[in-house]
Amino acid sequence: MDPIKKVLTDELEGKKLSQEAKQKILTMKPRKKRNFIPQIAAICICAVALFLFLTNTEKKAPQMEAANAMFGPVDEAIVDYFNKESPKLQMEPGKQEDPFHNGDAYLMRLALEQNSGQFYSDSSLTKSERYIVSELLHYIQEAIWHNNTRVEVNPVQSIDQLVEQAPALISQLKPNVEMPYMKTVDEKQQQWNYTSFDKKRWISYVVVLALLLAAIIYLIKYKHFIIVAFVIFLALVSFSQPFWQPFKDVSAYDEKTLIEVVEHELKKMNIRVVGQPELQYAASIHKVRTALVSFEDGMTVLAEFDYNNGRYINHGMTWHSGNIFSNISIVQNEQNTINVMAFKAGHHVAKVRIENEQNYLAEATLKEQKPTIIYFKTPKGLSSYSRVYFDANGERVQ
Amino acid sequence: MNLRTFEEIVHSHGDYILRLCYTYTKDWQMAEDLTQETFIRFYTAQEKFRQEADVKTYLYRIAVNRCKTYLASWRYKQTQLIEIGQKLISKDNVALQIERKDEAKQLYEKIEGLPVKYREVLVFYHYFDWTTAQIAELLSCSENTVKTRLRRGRQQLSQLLEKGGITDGSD
Repeated sequence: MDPIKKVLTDELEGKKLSQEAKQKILTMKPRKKRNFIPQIAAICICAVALFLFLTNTEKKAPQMEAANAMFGPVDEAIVDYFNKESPKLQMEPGKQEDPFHNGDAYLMRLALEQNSGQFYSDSSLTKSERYIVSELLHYIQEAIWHNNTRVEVNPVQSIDQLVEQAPALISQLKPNVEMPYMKTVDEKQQQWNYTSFDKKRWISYVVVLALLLAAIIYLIKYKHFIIVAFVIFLALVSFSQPFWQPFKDVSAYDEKTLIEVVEHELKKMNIRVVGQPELQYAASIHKVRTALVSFEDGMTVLAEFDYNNGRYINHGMTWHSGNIFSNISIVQNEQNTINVMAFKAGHHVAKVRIENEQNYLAEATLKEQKPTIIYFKTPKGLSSYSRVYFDANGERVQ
Repeated sequence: MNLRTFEEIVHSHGDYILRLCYTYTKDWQMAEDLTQETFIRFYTAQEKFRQEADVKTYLYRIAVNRCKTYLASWRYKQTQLIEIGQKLISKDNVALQIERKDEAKQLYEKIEGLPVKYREVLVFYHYFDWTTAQIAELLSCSENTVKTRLRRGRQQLSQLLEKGGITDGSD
């Protein structure tokens, strides 16, 4: 016997068609049709992954618009702000005439700092530079307010110059600036455990993950490894998308919760809420959530708060909170509005009014004698405005 | 064709068709599936079957066509890729296994490794003892083509075996 025949015979001989197969042939039962379920499963998963990849649930564009509407290019706005405000730091302690500012620094910090891990402003600064500048803005703001330190400051021509000066300035300002609330925040940070997720989002997570897991198990079982690899790749790509951010970062904000909290706080203070509130943007500064929520009547509220086990806690963070004014009336509201922030800190002010030469535009009555930020929308044509403060008797406070 | 005749054909050719399918697919499970398909197709297409044609040739032709269709399918290509992946993962183990295999096993693996057009003529000629004329009819090609493929198939086999340090001893 030639070796090829011998080898073939050795290998093939003895192999017989099984009785089951013979029976199937004789009963004309066709073999199981090709199984398309793995392909369908893979297509479904890919569709989900692509959907997640293409869907930005964090409304990035409106955030960008909000930041742009407020400042334009944020780097330039910061330089302008610094050059305009920093001379106040050169005043003798206690001699500051206008220790109050319009709150732009605060909003610039919002624009600079992280929003769920993503920068949304158009700043040219790197991540670390953003934090430095943000810190500097913060200390400038505080130092002007407290007016208890004097620092020589040179004007800057560019944001890069400001970045260079920032560490030295911070080290000069920091020792003299009291920030008790910062300590509070740091302590609260220890307890932070954000759990109040939107149910729909949780359901989405569970469904998507279950679908993915089931598909992968099924595909592995039936050895569709190439499709499995493709699915896993797409899933990994999709996991980098903002949809999953709150899942990965349990301290991330949740839009719905933020809006609900702001709405609730406003209602508690008998502030009229018109229409559906909309979150303009949300950010995290010093690990405190800040939300800018607008309403259909033009009212926009900037609220800052933190969470304790998923519940809003309104104590310890009243410094900036929107919950310390008792009434806001929007006198004039037009389309094409810009945002103007009024800020007042004092022990003798009961009411703050934003006005220009022709008429007053908005006013708010302070509920408590504490520093307050009130956020208004005012006509875009407004080139200048002033803040007027009133005491409890309705007299102007100079 | 009545059922009894069909049953006889299944019993007499089933195992051979199974083995033939295996030489194409290298997978017994798939070979069994293709064997089933072959017989079912044979039965359902019997009106096309020219009685003057040899049942055996007709049946084997269906089997060969089914196997070639399978080899051209995405499913088979996917299986091949998986096998390549598995081989890469267990490269060292495979090397060890080959070393331990006897020469006959190695020869069979070399036959399996031949291109289909050479492998099929070798199988029909050496295992099924078909003549080159019969193979030519089955594959719808000339006898010379079959002879050429036989010769080249053996040459390739010899070369492969020489590389592995084995002589096949076939003429």
